[in-house]
Formats: sequence, C-alpha cells, structure tokens
Amino acid sequence: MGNRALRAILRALDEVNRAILLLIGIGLMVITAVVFWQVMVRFVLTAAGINISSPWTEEVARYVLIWCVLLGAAVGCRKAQLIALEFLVRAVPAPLGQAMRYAALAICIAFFALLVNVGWQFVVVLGRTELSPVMQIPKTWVYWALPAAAGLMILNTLGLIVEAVITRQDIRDIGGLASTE
Amino acid sequence: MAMLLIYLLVLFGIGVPIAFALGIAPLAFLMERRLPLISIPQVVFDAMDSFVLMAVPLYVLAGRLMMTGGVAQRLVEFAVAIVGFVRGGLAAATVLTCMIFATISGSSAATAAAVGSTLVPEMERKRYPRPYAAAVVASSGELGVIIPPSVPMIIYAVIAEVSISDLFLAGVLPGALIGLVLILVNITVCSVNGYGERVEFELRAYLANLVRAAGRAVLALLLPFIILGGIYGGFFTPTEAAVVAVVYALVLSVGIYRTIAPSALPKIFSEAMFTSAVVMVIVGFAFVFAYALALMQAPQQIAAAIRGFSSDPLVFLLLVNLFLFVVGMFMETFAAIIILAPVLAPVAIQLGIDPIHFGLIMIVNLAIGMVTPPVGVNLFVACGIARISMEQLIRPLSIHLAALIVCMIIITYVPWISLALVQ
Repeated sequence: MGNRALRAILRALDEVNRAILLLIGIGLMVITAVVFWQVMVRFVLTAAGINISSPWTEEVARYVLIWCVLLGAAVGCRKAQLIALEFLVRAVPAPLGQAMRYAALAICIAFFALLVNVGWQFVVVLGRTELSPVMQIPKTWVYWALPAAAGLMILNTLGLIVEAVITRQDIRDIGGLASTE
Repeated sequence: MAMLLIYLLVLFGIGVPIAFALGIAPLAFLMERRLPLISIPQVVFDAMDSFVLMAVPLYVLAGRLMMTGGVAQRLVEFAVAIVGFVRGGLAAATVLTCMIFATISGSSAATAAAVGSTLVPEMERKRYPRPYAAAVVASSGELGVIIPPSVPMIIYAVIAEVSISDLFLAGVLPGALIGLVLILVNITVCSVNGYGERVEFELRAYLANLVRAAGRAVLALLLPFIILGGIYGGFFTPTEAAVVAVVYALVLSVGIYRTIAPSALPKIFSEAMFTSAVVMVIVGFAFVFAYALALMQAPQQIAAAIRGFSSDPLVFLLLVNLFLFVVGMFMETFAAIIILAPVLAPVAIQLGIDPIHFGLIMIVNLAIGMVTPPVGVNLFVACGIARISMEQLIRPLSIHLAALIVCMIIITYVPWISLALVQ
C-alpha cells in the first residue's frame, strides 16, 4: 500500500475519532441532564407536592458513562494519550526506547484482541439473558461497549504505528499525555 | 505473587498504559489457575457500573467551566483584596485563591492552571522572580485534591470502600492547615528576600476594595456552600452535588457572566469526558488486578510480612510516608492510589488505623508527589505557565516542599486534624 492510501486511511480514522469525541461529550451532557433531573425530582417537585419517582435516571447515567469511558479510552490510543510511565522509555538510548515502545504497543494490540474476544463472549453468554434491573432492557446494550471499544483501540494503536512509520517520527514523540488532572 | 508484580513493573517500564498493564499482568495467573477469562469483562463492568464514580467527570466538568468562565479571575481579585497588603501579599493571595478554588475544583492541575495563569503574570509585574511565582503556584495547587471536592478522594473511596462524604470532610482541616502554613512561609520568604512591592496600608481604601471584590465574587463564592452544605446537610450525595455544581457553573458562565459562548460548550464537555475517561479506565482494569491479588490472598500475605517486620502502627505509617513519597516522585497520583489502596488500606485497618484517616494520609502524601520532580503534574503546569525549565523551579520550590512535608508529618501523626469533623 502506498503512503497516500495510508494517509487517507489515517484521515478517515481521525474523522471517526473526532465523531466519537463529540459523542462522549454528548454522553456527558446526557449524564448531567438525567442526574440533574433526578435531583429536581427528589427536591423541587416533591417540595411542590408533585410525586413522580424516577428510578431510571441512575441506570441511564451509569450505562452512558460506561460507554463514554471505554470509547474515550479508545480514542486516547490514537495519540498515546492514556496515562503511562514515560520515564524509562525516555531515559534509555533512543533505539532501545523505541524498541520498548513498539513492544509495548504490540502487547497492547494482543490484549485488545483478547478483549474483543472475551468481551464478545460476554455479550453472547450473559448479555442475552440479563435484563437491567429498572428499565428491563437487555444488558447487551451495555456489554457491547467493551468489544466495540477494544476494536477501536486496535485500529487506533495501528494508526499510531502507521503514523510514526510514514512520517518517520520517533514513536515516543507522537502525541503524549495532553492533560492529566 | 512476586511474578505478578514483576510482570506489572516490566509492563509499566516499557510504557504500556497503566490501565492495560493492570489487565495484562494477571493474565498468566488467571490462565494458570484455569479461570475463565470471561471474568475480565465481568469485573471491568462491575467496577465501572457505579453511580459514585460518576462524580469524577462531573467535578472535572465543573472545574473546567469555572476555569474558562472567568470565575477564577474574580476569586483572584477577592483573595488579593484580603491579603494583598502584606509583603509577599500576591504570593499569599495565590495560596488563598487555590484554597477557595479547591472548594469548587477536584483536581490539582486544574487548580494550579486556573490560578497560575492569572497570578503568575501578575506576580511578575509586581517584581516577584518568575521561578518563585511558579513555585508558589505548583505547591499551593496541590490543595485542589486535599480540600473537598477531590477526584482522587472519590477514587480512593471507591477502591477502599469508605464513605466519600466522610473523606471529603476529613480533608477540610488538613487543607486549611497546609494553606495557612504556605501563606506564612510565603510572607516570610518574600519579606526576607524583598520580593514584591511594599503597599501602603490604608484601612478605608482596604475595606472599600474588599467589599467591591467580594461583591464581584459573591456568586462564585456561593458554590462551595451549595456543594459542601448540600452534602453535609444530607440533601445530596456527592454525585448529585457535583451535578448541581455543573448546572450552577453553566448558569454562571453562560448565563450571568457570559464568558462562555454556548457554541463552546460541546468542546468543553468532550474534553472533560475525555480527561475523565483516561483516569476512569484505569479504575476498571485495576479491579481485574485486585481480583487476582484477592485470589492469591496477597493483601493478607503483605499484611503478615509487614506485621512480621513491625506491628507498631507508627512504624507502619512512617514506612507508608517514605514509600508513597518515593512512589509519588515517579508515578501518577491516580495510578498510585488505584494500585496501592487495595493493598495498604486493609493492613492499616488491621493495625487499628482509621480507614478515613489512612485515606487522607495517602492523598496528602501523593499530592506532594505532584510537586516532586522528576514526574509531577503541578510542576509541568507551573513550568508551562511561567515558561521556565524544571531546573529553575527546583531551588525556589524546595522551601515550599519542606513546608508541605512538615504538614504531611503532622497530618499523619495527629489523626485528630483529619477526624475532628467526621462524626
């Protein structure tokens, strides 16, 4: 495959990542809205003498959060933005440090493949029969988050390696932790 | 168990993200025991399916909104109005602003960034050496995680299964202690070295200025009362208080101060969620690691080993202080809490140490890790804002660091400071 094709694929991948970032932002808006609704229902409406209970809010918020966390972490793989110890990789001579980084990425890809596999089994084995306690929806809706995110993690990690190779950059210098809080 | 730790350290060493290293290290053990690997998704989902953890992205978001929403600026003016008249007043005001901002923000880096970006240029204008200004911001920024709300406290509470409200409450007096000590240190250092300008004190002007600044900051100053009052009045859970803080910050910054355009909101929400996801995914996989440790009965073995060495709680705490200090130099705070809390907290409880007090010791100890080189998030933030190198920061930082260490020792060996407010 030529460099041009690879660059096009990377661009497409980054479009997907951008869309997912937007999506998890919307996810946080949903979480804010439903948890705030829960507070309103408990205090304001009860105080006003209107009694509606909303047991579904917590469940929605928790499930949306699981998706957001896993997808967010998957996006982080594209530019190596997950929290890692960079100290040793940068302290050793460059060729060794780069080799360590590539080894780490290869191990991660193998682990993500395992996660896709066991995550999918988990969907099939448990998700089909299990219903959420309040809303009674099949838990497959939640459990798909792991194999889906792990799949994106594989693509993004490959994307990171491809970017380093075609732009001839030091793999250790691409991305890095944008912000830790 | 030794093998498990060796795998983990090797994976950390070659730079595997901490979240995944925690999931990969126990694989060999799980397969050797012929345990079905499907337990991995099970454990990950159990860990993340938590209403308590939801407080993390919400406090991160509230902090972001307050930071970009011009709230920090008003708090700075208020703090300067209070302590600005003394020699070194701007440095003292930096500490005070961090204390106030910490009651809204749950993170050190956000606190240091919000306060530093306004006050470092201001200190420079008033003839403070730039490295000194950066050192003040780096050291007082750690109050962000000690004064509630605090994201690391939420993570500790989830892992060690203690009450978040109690842990938050336990942070109030230690945070006040550290803040006061830092203010005194700054006034002393600035007086001795002649940093900053002397300001003529005139009572009438002082009061007029104070009233004006308080008026401008009053809406922002209400928020801590809503958050903490709501939690301790029993009105909200910490997660619900977080959402109230978000909505309040939205109303303030978008509606009243109009410092955030509605069109900027999607980006702020996305970034807050992304930052939180990067931390929370570690929690998910840390439970896989903890699951393997529990199967090996590792906490019991470690506890037995420590008791074999000494069963004196004071000796144990001293070892914990030293160990966490060294860990804090190299490791990121969340990772350290997530890995070490499940191992150390049970031992502490067996030795008769209050789990809330122990949690606070861990937080204070690791918060110092944010200010110790070579790896310390507050140092990176402060150096970035002041445009100086880490080497330039070390000398002015050392006296602040010494003060923080003294505070840590006091907080460790005087449990009353942490537990006085906790019923």
